[in-house]
Amino acid sequence: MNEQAVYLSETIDAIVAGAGSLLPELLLAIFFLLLVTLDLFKSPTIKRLLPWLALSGLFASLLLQILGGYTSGDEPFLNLLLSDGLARYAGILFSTAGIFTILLSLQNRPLERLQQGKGEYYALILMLVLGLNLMGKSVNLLMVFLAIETVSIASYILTLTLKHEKRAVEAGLKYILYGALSAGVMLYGMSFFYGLTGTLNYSSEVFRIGLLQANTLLVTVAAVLVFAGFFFKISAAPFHFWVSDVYQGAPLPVVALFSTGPKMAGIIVILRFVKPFENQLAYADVQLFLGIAAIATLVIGNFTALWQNTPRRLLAYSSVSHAGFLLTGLLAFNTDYTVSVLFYLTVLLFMNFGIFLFLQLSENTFKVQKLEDFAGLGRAYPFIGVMALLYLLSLTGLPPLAGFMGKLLIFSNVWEAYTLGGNTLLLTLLIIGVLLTGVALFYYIKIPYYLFFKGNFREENLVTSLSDKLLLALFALPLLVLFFKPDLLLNWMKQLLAQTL
Amino acid sequence: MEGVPLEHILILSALLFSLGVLAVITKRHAVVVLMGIELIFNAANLNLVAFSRFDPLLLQGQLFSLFVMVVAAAEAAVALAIVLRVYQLFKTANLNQVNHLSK
Repeated sequence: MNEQAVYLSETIDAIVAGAGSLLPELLLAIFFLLLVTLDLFKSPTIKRLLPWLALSGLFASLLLQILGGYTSGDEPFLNLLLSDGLARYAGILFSTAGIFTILLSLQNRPLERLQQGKGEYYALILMLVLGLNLMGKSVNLLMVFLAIETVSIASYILTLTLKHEKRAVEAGLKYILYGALSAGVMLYGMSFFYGLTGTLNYSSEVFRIGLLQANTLLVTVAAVLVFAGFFFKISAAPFHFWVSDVYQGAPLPVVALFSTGPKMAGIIVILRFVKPFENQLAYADVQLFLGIAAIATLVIGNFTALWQNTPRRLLAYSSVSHAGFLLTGLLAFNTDYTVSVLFYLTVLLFMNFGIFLFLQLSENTFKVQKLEDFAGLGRAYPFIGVMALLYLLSLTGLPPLAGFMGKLLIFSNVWEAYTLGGNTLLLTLLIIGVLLTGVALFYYIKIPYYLFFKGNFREENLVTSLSDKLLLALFALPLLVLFFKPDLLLNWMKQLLAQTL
Repeated sequence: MEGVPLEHILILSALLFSLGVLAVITKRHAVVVLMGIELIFNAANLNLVAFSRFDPLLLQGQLFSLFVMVVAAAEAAVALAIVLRVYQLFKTANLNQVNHLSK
């Protein structure tokens, strides 16, 4: 009994000492509670303030993470959460994604018309970002599970924001069934990791040694089960079926958040989780599984996108193919792939929000539902057309845009890892990745083709708001800057990861 | 420590897991699919509690299973609310008939 009393007092001391490292999360939690409470008031003035309150909460957490000074370095909080440079950079990305989502929501027509549940909508976005932050920090199986479920449950409810629409409800049902199934499968795998190693902290030495002593087949099976849950979050094959439905049913700001936030967080979780599996000799099977999953995701994402005739479904499969590229980047072990993957994630954030803002503008103002509806829009409204072209070229990965830089960094890392280790899996991945970038051009180029070369647009005098145009330009600017000066971000990122900032 | 051997518990949990997956794959009623998912969660819980006996000081497995129950309850609440909404709009909870998006 005495043993446990000592343990208890040590734990309380650790909580008091480490609570400071959770400052951004605490801040978001406080703003979440504030929003939920204020939503109870009937006054329209308070209701109108809610989005701005959510925005200020996200800004505060963004500033805190940029300035730093609260991190605990290499010591995880209660063996659960590690506030290192990687988590800080991830947190900056998540807060930015949250801010962009709210900015898009303020311009969204269907949301504007919504009578009920606006306050909850903004509160849930804060909750989702909080969950993403926890995903970025967790080094413990229990914490990963809780963080992923926080994000998932917030996502399910956000999908149903427009709950009077059949498509939203159907998408929500499919989302939660796939989500709960993959969470259960992941949990079953986690229980085996706990049994094999006796610890839940997967960044610890005990975990690494426990795995080396365990039966390789069991480790592989458990890893495959756990990756099921992670793949669901980043929408990688074979857990991508929800993507096209959810992208059709949810409001576009939420779709933009889903295509970036959980994907970034899932990649960071995988980034931390694969560290014990870097040894190519001991874990050839696990790496083979990841490689096959990456190839399958790339092939399915790119080829299915070719047959789509609505922009929402096209972008859904484009988001699957980006998950494939990110997984490819994660397999370049023994190189500094962390920086490249983070760079790709940053670029993905800007181009996805850009293209979804363009889509929201097209749906709200120009009543676009299918790809054919884009016909002539680019010639009638040149500014919007050119911006769309920029985002689509960046998504394809063509110069002079940052999407090209992101793919180049990832492919050069894979090449470096291949020349170091001679693993043919990496060479296959590299070749397939480059070839599929060519395929990607065919479906992305469909939209500009309609925009500029086909037909005439029905109405010439529709008004687009200035704030929409400003936002379009704002999201495009980093894409150009990061192509010409990628070192600016790369150097800052390296300093942040080395915790010298 | 006396008690049921570990192998027996693992076999039982594997059976539960397989039954859960089977229910998810074969059944077409949304609520029954959710019950299958619940079986999968319970299989994992059983494993966690069983492995926890080798971790007598921290009991991390037992603690984990408590969290799992809470999360599963929260998820089931949201899921059933969604199923209710589906039933109101589509007049059915059969998954094969709730399929308009992919057409």
